[in-house]
Amino acid sequence: MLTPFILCPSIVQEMLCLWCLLLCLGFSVNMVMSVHQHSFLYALASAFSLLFPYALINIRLELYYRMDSAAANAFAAYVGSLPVTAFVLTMVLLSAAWIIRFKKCLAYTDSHITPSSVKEAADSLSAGLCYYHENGQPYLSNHLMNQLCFEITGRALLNGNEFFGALNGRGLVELKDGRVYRFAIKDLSLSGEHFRELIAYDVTELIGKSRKLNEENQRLRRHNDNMIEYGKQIDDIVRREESLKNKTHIHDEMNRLLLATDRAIQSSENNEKFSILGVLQQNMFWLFMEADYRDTNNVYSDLESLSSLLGIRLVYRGKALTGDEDALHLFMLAAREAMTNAVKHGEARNLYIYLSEDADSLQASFTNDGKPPDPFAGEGGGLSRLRQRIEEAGGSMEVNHSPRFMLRISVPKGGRQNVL
Amino acid sequence: MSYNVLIVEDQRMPRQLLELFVKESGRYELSGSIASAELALTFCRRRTIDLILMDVLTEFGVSGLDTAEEIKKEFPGIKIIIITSMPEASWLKRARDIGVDSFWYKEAEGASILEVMDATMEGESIYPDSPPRVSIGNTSNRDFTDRELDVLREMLTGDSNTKIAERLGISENTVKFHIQSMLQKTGFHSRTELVAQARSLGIVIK
Repeated sequence: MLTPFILCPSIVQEMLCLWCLLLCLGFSVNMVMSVHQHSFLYALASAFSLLFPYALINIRLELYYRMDSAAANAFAAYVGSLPVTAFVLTMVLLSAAWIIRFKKCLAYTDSHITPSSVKEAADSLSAGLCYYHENGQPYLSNHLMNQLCFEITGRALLNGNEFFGALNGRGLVELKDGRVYRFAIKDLSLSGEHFRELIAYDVTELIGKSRKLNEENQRLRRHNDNMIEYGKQIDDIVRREESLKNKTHIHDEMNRLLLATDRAIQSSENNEKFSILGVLQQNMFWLFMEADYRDTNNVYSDLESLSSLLGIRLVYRGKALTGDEDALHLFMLAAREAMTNAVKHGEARNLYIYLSEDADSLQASFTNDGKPPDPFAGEGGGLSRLRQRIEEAGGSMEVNHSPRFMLRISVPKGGRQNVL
Repeated sequence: MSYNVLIVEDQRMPRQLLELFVKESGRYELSGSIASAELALTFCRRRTIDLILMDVLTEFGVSGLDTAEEIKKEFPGIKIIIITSMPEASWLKRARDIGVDSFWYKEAEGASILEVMDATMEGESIYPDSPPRVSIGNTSNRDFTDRELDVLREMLTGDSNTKIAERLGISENTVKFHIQSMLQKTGFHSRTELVAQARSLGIVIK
């Protein structure tokens, strides 16, 4: 047991040297880690602990004897003569010390934030992250950002500015595999240093959903358009139906009238013949009118409202005026005047309206079955205002007082714009 | 007692709707329903009308406001409610000036027409604070100043800045300034775009 080291069998020496070599390596690692963790005392201790195994290896390799130095020789002789047990004991102690220190070093990285732990944390992010200096030199870029850079530019991320330039200002980048990333850049400054932060968010799902939403919206818009179209058509259809109903009604009326006419022809009463003829003409008028022309409808329905208020019946002859706004407006004004005059002065029950048109103008004349007016009466305020407006529109107006009151107007078609 | 109501509205659907409201109310009697304001005064002279529901733009472009003014002169007792869907702000003011009793926006939220009619017949005057908000470009009609709206309204004529300035009694530079301000607010690039949008939305009507 107390055999000196040098006299031990070769295999024991080899084993001890191997142990020493491992310890040297271990302490070297410890030393580097300690320096990294700024525990310089431990680094020094590790370096110091390294000396013993190192010396032992040197002795085994007989290096000291080759140094040709008395002190070295004496040192080697002294150490070599120590009992092997002392060596083993020392080695066990050193190994224990190394294990304790190494564990502490490992524990340090778990409990302290180190640059590598920051990098590790950044790597585990689901977003790409890169901080780089104004000149493009990256300080920190995580795994995902490196990968993105490689996929987009085909090169490693060595210059932040170059990479950002390669994005061409695209905020959204779609990769070949279908993933979509949104890039956001921000200028930061920390204690006088300017640097940039580039973040890439994975928006694949969001984009997918927004595309889907877009499609849905478009579908909705199409449906909406269809609805609007339907709405337009339904209006038209309803109007046609109404018009058809009216025409059916007139048709029935005509049938009834034909029977009555037949009977009237048999009889000799002239009065009856005339009244039947009148109703016939009125029905013809409504039948031929473009019943679904909005403006025309408004004019005739307005005049109808007014006539029922005044208690006078409007009897139309001829073809209903349609289309021309200005002409219709003047016609309505004239009809209003004729109606009020007929009621006020003539106590009339019917106002007869004759309508006709030629290529250039529309004509309407109004008579009534009331008392004939005073042949010497001048044109009242209403009539002269009407005349003025008609003449301004390039039309003409004529008033006859005998044998009965008659108002006749003629208005050019497509009259001058903005006259009214 | 029930009140006699005259409806002046040139669009078929709204008119039929108003007629329906009046008939179904039980408190009002429909005296007449016409498309052109031109005939309204004749109606008032011939029949006792208590309330008129008057559109602004009626058949043949006859202004309901002008007619309301004539009616108010001749028959101050007749209550008039102006009804419109156009957000033209000047109409509100004009209606107040004429002495129109109430004002109602067809498409705006708020009181229903029957509520406004009831309140008006009780002697109240119901006016909205402002025209309904209508978006134009990046802004809305409410974000224009009164003066800007005046300029915009004059721009509808297609006249030069000089003429607009003359009519409004302001300098040409002021007109330019207002137009620039409106272009900035809306984000439009040309005055034509501004005018076309404003007219089609009914923000200004001349």
